[in-house]
Amino acid sequence: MGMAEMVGSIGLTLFCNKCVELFYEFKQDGNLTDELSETCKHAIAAFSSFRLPNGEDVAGDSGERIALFNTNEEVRSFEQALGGSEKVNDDTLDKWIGKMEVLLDKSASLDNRKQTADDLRQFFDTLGDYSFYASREALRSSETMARI
Amino acid sequence: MIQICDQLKAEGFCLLRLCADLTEFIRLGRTRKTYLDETQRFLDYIIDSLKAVDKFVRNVIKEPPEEQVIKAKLRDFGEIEKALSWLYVLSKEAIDSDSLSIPFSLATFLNHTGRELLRSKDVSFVVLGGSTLMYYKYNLKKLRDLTNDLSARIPGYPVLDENVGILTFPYCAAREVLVNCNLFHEMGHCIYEKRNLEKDLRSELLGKFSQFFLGGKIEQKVQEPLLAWRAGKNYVSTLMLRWADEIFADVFAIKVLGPAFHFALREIEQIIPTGLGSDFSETHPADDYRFRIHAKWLVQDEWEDILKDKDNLPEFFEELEKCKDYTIDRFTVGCRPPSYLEAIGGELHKWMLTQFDGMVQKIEENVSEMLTNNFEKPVYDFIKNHESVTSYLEHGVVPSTFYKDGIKRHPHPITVLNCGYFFYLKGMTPLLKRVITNLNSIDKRIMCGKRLNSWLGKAIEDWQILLKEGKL
Repeated sequence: MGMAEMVGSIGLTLFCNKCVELFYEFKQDGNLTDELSETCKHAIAAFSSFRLPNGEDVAGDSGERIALFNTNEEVRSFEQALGGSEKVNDDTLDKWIGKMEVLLDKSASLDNRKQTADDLRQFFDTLGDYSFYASREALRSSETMARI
Repeated sequence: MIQICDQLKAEGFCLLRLCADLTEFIRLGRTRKTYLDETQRFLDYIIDSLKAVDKFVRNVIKEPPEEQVIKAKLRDFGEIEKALSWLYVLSKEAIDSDSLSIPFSLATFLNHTGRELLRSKDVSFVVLGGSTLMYYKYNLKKLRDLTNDLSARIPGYPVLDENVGILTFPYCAAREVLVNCNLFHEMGHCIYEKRNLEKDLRSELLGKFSQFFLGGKIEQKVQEPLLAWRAGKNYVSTLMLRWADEIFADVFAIKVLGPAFHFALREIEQIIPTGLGSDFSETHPADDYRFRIHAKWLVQDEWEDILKDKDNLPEFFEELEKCKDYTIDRFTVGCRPPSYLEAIGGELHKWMLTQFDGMVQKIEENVSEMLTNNFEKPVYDFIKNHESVTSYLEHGVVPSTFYKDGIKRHPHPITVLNCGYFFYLKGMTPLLKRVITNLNSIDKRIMCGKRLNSWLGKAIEDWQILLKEGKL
């Protein structure tokens, strides 16, 4: 592990921390701010990047920083956050993407959206924990922390 | 809740203490020292980062967050601490790199070259004496990503300017000029980042990897196709883009400096061998692959006849020339792929090497394109001036100004560096014969090597003074 893994995991942790705060605020006041909306879209794009490409989609993803999961440590954190028995597959990705879409959907009931925000807060809290441990591990194991 | 709140405060105070200590260290360390402008600005940047962290932590301590988000704040603190551990290393290296502790004239010339080539006066290369016996460029792309992530969480946290590059040499080589030619390779890394070539390479590479994954029916050969796909994308792009970065830096340094860079690389590799004859590592292409590129560009840039000249180093070039014929089949990847891809490791590595060969062509085109205008091949000035420069060195004179055919001449610093390297590698015999001393032959050679480096450094400094005064 090295600099890329450490920076990647720090970035993922900080993103998760932001999500936790924003989802908590939404649960409190039910106000869909621009920041929350942007953050959800960012997370949806990142979760979608796990999908296998289909026949037409072989151009690769150009937005490298959109993905959030650029290193295998970040991928592992995501897998761990989904729970030991649950694997990353289209169903689980759909589940979490679906939750974020519900939160963004102003026509859905506010109670439902608030409950969803709480689920999401807990999920990102767990993901943040795993990512935090991963960045700590990367820092400890990397001799060449900041160099190439 | 009380416990976790106390923990938050305790960690906050630790962070504040660290910020205060680092700020104090920088403030005191700067006293009675002079730095290059680039280093000064960088130290100011560190101070600004520390100020932003200090303010953020104070605010959190003053108004602790609700229970549901307090863990997130704790993690914020933890990640800030990790970022500070990076700033901690950099602060020390920057404070220690005052103008007497770095190869001053070479660092100034390097900045001049960078600004000329990129046609931007904002470009700033901070040259630091690192604590390891190697040359490296701080991975600023990652550090910039880090500062971006931090600025998204910490109000006022400054994002590291995209014009800043941080290059590091082994601190004990502060008086050396020749081996520090390796810094031009490190500068090449910064220019690679600035040229934004990586984005294109990455996009194209990932497209090709998708085709390989789907077309080769890889998803049927691995147990967890989704994870293998994701891990494969990361593995392939991380390794190959690192190799690409290295090759760009090599092509850049060889084209800008000529053989002096190749000699400098060989010299540092003698001190710390990479052991990468034909193996590509996690970070670097195989040495023989790099030398193949060096040989190709030395020939293209018209250094071949000079290198083959019996008065120079023909045996050296003969060895290098052999690499020119190496094909990609000769090379291997000495890394273990992620567990999800182990079943297809051999197939994947073969594919990566083949693709990399194509990628190198694009890199070479990109460097050549950058060096098309306002860049004269360094070999031309060398041909005009090398005899006089060498003669000056043989007599122990700084080769910054001489008369040839009644005309006053000032050799370009790159000519000075190349002549210096040829002279040094050939053993400096004419100079050693002239120097009379009580030292034994080994110490005499070491002493003359040091003097040679200081004359070369002075010649480079003189050239820059003349340039500044409009006398060139």
